[in-house]
Amino acid sequence: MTGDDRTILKAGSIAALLGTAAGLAEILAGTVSWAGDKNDPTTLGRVSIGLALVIGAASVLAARSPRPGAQLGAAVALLTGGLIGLTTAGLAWVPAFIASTTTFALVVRRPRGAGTWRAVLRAHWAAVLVGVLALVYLAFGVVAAEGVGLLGIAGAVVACTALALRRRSPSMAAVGLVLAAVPFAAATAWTVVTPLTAVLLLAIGLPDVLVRTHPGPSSGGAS
Amino acid sequence: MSPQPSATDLRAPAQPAPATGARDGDEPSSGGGPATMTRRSFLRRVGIGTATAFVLADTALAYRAYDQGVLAEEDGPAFDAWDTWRDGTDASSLIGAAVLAASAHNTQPWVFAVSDRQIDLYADPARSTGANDALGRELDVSLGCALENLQLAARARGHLTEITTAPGGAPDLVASIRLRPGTAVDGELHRAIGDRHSNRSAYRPDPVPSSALTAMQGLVDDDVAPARVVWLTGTRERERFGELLVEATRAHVADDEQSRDSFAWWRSDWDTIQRRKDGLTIDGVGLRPVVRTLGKLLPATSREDADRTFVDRTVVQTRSAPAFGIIVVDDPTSRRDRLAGGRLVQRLHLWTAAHDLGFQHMNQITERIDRDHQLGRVATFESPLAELVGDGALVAFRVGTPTVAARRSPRRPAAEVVR
Repeated sequence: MTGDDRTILKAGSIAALLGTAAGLAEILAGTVSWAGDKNDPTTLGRVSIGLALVIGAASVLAARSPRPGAQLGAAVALLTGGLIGLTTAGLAWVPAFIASTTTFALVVRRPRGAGTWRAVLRAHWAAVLVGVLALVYLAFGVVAAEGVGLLGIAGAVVACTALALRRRSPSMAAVGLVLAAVPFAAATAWTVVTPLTAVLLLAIGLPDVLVRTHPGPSSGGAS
Repeated sequence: MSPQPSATDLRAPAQPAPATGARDGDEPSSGGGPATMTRRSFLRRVGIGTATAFVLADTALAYRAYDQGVLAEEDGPAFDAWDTWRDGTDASSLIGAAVLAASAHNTQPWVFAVSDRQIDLYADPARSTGANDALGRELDVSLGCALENLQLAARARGHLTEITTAPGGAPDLVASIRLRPGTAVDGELHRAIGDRHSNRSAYRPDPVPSSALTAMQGLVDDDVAPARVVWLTGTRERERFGELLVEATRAHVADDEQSRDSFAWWRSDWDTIQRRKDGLTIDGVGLRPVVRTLGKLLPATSREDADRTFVDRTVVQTRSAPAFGIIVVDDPTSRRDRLAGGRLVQRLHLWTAAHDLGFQHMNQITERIDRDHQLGRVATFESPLAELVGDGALVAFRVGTPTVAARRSPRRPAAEVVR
């Protein structure tokens, strides 16, 4: 572990601790203005603590794994976790947000091979977009009524699994994407947003899954 | 000695080795010289950009949907009262049923003082609809609705009740309910308390069965005297009453003070709904689900738009109404009569809820009459209304088979309305 790695780990740990403190403050005093004056402070406090743990895990990942994909994922988690936290614990989250974005900046500014992240994004852009859409499903699944909500959560998990499987079994991955997208969208068609998300998920995900792994004409197949 | 370029190197730019996972047509990732954008790589960039833009727009829309509670309809603290109203049997638990009563603009203008054997019902004048209830008629009728729910719940939980309306003492004390032990009577009206909602959708043209009208007529008894109900079911009288309602609505939106005081109870923001737990919401307008969702996703309605919608919806509601009912009392200015009228209209509403009929309060005409009296003007709607239903009209409503299921309205829980 280099000096940079240790700095990232320290900054991320501080962000996680501050975020956990904000979450506890939200649970204990969420109806006061500095904690956002929330209607449901207990739930939001738990979400805040969950985000703090994600930030902590992201900083560990960024410090320990040199892979560009891991670095990119950690950077995104640090930034989005910090931003989302502002909606859960109000001003109480601000110290955690500052620490989290500082960690993000340290990860982004760390010296690495030129164009590394760009290459990763270029190679996996469709997967990244499908991942974002899966997050939308996950978020909607969490807030939706129990039975329907489970469809959303399951859809998000299946979509991510399909992405992971897309090289090993494109057809299974394609079926997985359809199974991930359609049931939740059908059950919540009146929301407009979930059908739109499903259409995008399939329009972006299916070509990526099916076309990417098709053997090209020069792959040496028998003629 | 540096290697010399071969003839092949000089003829064409070297093809870079594709990055892991990169496809044919990717532009060179590096290479020293200026990158050449092929048609294919250009189209690919456009595709990535378009897909990214769509995903970002979808994410923004999803956030708006989350923020407006699109997937959390009828959920959260503002709606908990609908799930807990049957809990408990003591005097304080009865308030949970009372807070689910109908009220003008869902203002919930009530406060309760509870002891072991008595519940006092107070008016909360701060929750008036202002120029829309110029003489306090709807406030008293709303309190009568709460009183009826309270009595039904008391009987269902084994309490005999003795109600004294307008008992005097504190100016805002409107009724006292004494409780004595008795036998529990859990009737159909009580069971319907949690299912009663105002249904503002269009109604089917099917007439209300005469058996239903007879059954509702049977709900008029000495407990609610002198209140009675006048039905308008004939085509001509319904059309005339509908015309008056639409004219009164137009007069309402043209009256700046009425318009403002009405819009003050419109709740378009999910956080506000959860915090205030009162007022009118887009869920209560009676729109089809997709239209309702679009209404939530779009920017908040302006007062002018709300006024236009009010008139348009009133036209739809009056034209599709197979029956109007008008509660009539001896003296619409008397608090006792108003409370009695409120109790009767709540009974009728509960009965329709128990029999899958839609019910909507429609009081634009009496609101305009009171407003004209308040301003010292000739009440232009008074004579036409009297021609249709006689003297003493208190409040009006429509009944029919709805085209869209009614939704729950936000409610302040018992803990927020007990002194």
